[in-house]
Amino acid sequence: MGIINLFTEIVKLFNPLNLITVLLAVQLGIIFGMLPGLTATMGIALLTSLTFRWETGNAIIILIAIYVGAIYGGSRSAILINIPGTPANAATCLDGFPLAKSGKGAQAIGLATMSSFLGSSIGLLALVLFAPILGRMALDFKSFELFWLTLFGVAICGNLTAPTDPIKGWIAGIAGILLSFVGMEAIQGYPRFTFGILELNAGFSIIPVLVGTYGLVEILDNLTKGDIKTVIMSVGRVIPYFKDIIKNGVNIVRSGVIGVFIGIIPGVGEIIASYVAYDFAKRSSKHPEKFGKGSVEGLIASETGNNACVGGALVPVLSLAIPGSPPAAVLLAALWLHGLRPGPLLQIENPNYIFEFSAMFFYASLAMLIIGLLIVKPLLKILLIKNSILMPTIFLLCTIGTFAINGRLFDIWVMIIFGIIGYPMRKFGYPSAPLVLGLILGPMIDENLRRGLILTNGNFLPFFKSTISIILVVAVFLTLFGKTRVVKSAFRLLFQPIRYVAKLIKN
Amino acid sequence: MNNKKMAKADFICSIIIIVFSLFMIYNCIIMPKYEEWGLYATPGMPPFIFFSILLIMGIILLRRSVFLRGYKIQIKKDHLLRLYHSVAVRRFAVALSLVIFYSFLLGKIHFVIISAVYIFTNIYIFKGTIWWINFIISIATSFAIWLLFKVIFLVPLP
Repeated sequence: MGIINLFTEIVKLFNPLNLITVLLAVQLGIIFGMLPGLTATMGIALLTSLTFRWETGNAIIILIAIYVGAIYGGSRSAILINIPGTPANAATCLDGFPLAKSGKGAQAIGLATMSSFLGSSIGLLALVLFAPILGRMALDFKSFELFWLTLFGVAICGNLTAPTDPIKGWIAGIAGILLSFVGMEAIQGYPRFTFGILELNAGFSIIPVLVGTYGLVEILDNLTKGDIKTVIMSVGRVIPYFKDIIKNGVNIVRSGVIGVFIGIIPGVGEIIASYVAYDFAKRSSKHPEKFGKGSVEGLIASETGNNACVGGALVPVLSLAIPGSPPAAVLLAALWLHGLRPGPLLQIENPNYIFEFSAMFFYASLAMLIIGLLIVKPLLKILLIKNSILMPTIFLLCTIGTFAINGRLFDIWVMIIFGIIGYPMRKFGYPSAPLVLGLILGPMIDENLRRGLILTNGNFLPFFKSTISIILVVAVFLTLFGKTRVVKSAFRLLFQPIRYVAKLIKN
Repeated sequence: MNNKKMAKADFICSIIIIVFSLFMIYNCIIMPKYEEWGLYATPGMPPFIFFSILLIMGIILLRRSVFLRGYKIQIKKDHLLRLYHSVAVRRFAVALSLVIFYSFLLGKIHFVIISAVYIFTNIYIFKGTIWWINFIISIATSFAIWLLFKVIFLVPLP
């Protein structure tokens, strides 16, 4: 049924204007992805603000195309200059660059393109199959469950974007939630934490904070570092050989599935998906010693994994309004800005939207394949542009995008302040993704917590009563305390009898 | 950043987090209560909970950094001199100053002029290219952006 709906939407969207728009947007996304310092998140944030006044359908198709294009585009710089264009392509460097150094740059680009397309296709399938199911399940969620769900989103995002020091991820997430409390609150209309600044009555807009923490921080960082890159410009035949793809069939499917499932987990994102897919490919390879020295399997695994993750990350965006990755968080914000209400209500208000969205995703993936295989050499020249020329231009676009939302100079200052805050945050190991996620989900947490308490006359018990709530509470607890010694020992004790029985059976 | 430096950074961050959380918790407490809705529905309640969590996390961070001797922060003349002469710090300061300067003049001078000056200064300071190519790039970029957004896309510009 889902596939038929998808096919219908694909046919509906088939018109020259859409095709040209998608091709141009994917091209732009690839440029964003391949330029080190410009990330997919930044690209979507920037284009969200620039396309804010456009018709919703056109704006969303552009943002999806930018997302798909940017995640793929990062592989170009990873292969040719050993610098991942976006963090999602870090694993691609491991084998892509050694392949390019040994004269197989074209083969690496071709394989990366094809595996990215196949990864996207697996992601698309997941989007069509899982999003409606998850969305229907989410219809049962009440204030209590929604409160725990959003809290879980922020907690796991903090945990996974700062794996070496999760506390910093949680601090960033809570800071994001608290930022969302600034301004007039929804129930009694009291202006919180405005300190007499009138402009703060409406709270912090998502775009200036986003552009500040992602865009301006990148710009400052790149201008501080200067230009350090050597580009391998000689490429030959890019179109991959069929046998290479067939030989890696299992690897592609496995990496795709890994990418999808990691994408579905809120806030984790493409970086982890590509590394996990790479790791699995290495473990199951007949030649693990070749990994890191130019292994085709490694390259295919990381590129399939990160692109499949895009589709996976969009599943919770549409069904639960919880982003699966930082770029998906921005896309979620964009959907809201355009008047769409992703989450449980989307199934009621706009039941066909998931398929329309998936059809846009399909066109973006197809455009990525076409452009990725056909336009290679002219795009490589962009890699030669110096940061000192590129970054000021990007800053101009950040300024326009930030200003365009509300037409207030105040927003530009908000962007700069968050850029200034975001720079040391990055240097000291505080990830930006939970901050943004917290800012987006904060109002949901606030409203659901207070509404729930008003409904129960201040009784906290219903927050722990339903099965879904209990599952979510356990999930939040394990996310926050799962690594502590006490919890680990408790788990060991809990599983002791099972291990004992297993041992007995084995003997 | 190595572990020693990170511990020091954590120590400073934790102090900032703790002081800030305490200040904001006080702000939550003095918010109006709206007792007809019930105490649990007061606007200050959710921020109070989350600032309290932030405070706890700040304390955990402080405790950890103290264990790692992050409190041993010495500001010597030598350190300050090294910081002053650091190329990265200078580049950062210049880049940020230009951003602030540009934003300050936005809306006061025409977009194309101020943007061209901003791009030209950036390329000149960070040695992007020779001056006349720089001049052409700055003018062309600012004008193209203005034309694209203001005239074609009808986006309001500052």
